Amino acid sequence: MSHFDIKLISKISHEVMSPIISSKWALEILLNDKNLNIEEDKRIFLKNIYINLNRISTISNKLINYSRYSVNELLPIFLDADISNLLKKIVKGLSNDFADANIKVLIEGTGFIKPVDQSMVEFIFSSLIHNSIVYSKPSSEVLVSLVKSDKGEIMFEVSDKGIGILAEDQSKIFTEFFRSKNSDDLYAKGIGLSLFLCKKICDVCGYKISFESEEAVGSKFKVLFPSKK
Amino acid sequence: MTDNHVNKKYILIAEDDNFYSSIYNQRLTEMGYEVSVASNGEQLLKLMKIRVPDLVMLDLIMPKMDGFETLQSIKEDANFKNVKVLVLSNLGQKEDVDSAMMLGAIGYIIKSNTSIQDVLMKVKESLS
Repeated sequence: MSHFDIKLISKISHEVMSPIISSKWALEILLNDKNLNIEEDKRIFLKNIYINLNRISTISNKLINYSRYSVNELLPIFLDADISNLLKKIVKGLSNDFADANIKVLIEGTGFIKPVDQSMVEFIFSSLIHNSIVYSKPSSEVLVSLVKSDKGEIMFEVSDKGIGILAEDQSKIFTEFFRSKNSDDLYAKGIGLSLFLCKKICDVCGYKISFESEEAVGSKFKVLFPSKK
Repeated sequence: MTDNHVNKKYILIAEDDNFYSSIYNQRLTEMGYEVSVASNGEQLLKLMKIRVPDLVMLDLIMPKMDGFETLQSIKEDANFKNVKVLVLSNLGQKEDVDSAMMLGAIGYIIKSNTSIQDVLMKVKESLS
């Protein structure tokens, strides 16, 4: 891609974000207004609009991150944040977006406050958990855990009993625009940027991402946050 | 003017997108604040001269005078330099966040990953 293309993608994605965010906020206000008696069957429409806006903003966010990466501007902003709270927020959002998601969360230990780039950590959590949901059967259990070791390292894991990754594809999943053959059979649409960006984000932040997977058995993705950063 | 009116905390919003400013305006007024809206930095500075606000909510990308220039002008003016400025932007780019904080903003909210509820909480915290 040329510098011009990258700039165009970035500009448009930024521009698109504004109407999406203000629409989401307006809907959030309507959905949380207890004095508004919206009938449940109509409330579903509002929720669907909210979910779809989230989908557009996720795509837009990926394009922005990708364009930043392309011009070497994928730079983390480290500020203190509680990683366990970020995880809870992401799980709550995804549970809202996927009515049949069955996410179990296990948080072990205390002291999850670390200097992190909040958007980037949220991107990692959101992408990996999202993948587990869409590559599994509806209501199939997705187990998410966050464990702090005695050494101060934090390990994030997400495991599913989904379709798994074909053995021949396992070396390619962090490649840009890569889509596995078995993923196209599913509703799980994508452009092949999530895992690529997760890896790049982990690289710039100093995290270690790894996975284990077996076709038709399931996948487990891990992200290790070292004790220093 | 009643005493109650005088005691209300005053918030100035600098935001060129009407959809955002109407949401802020409506919610914050409901929360008991007095609110005025400027659609660019120049207008904001004019409004600040009429009444010094307790808090400025500043968007970064605006016509005429953008958020950075505006923030700099506020901090350089002896009458305004103690006014709290909360920066709001669609997205967080390291360079932008660093510049805003260096120029004296009390906080930086990235709108794309914050709910309106959290934005309002942050405003309340900043004013308490």
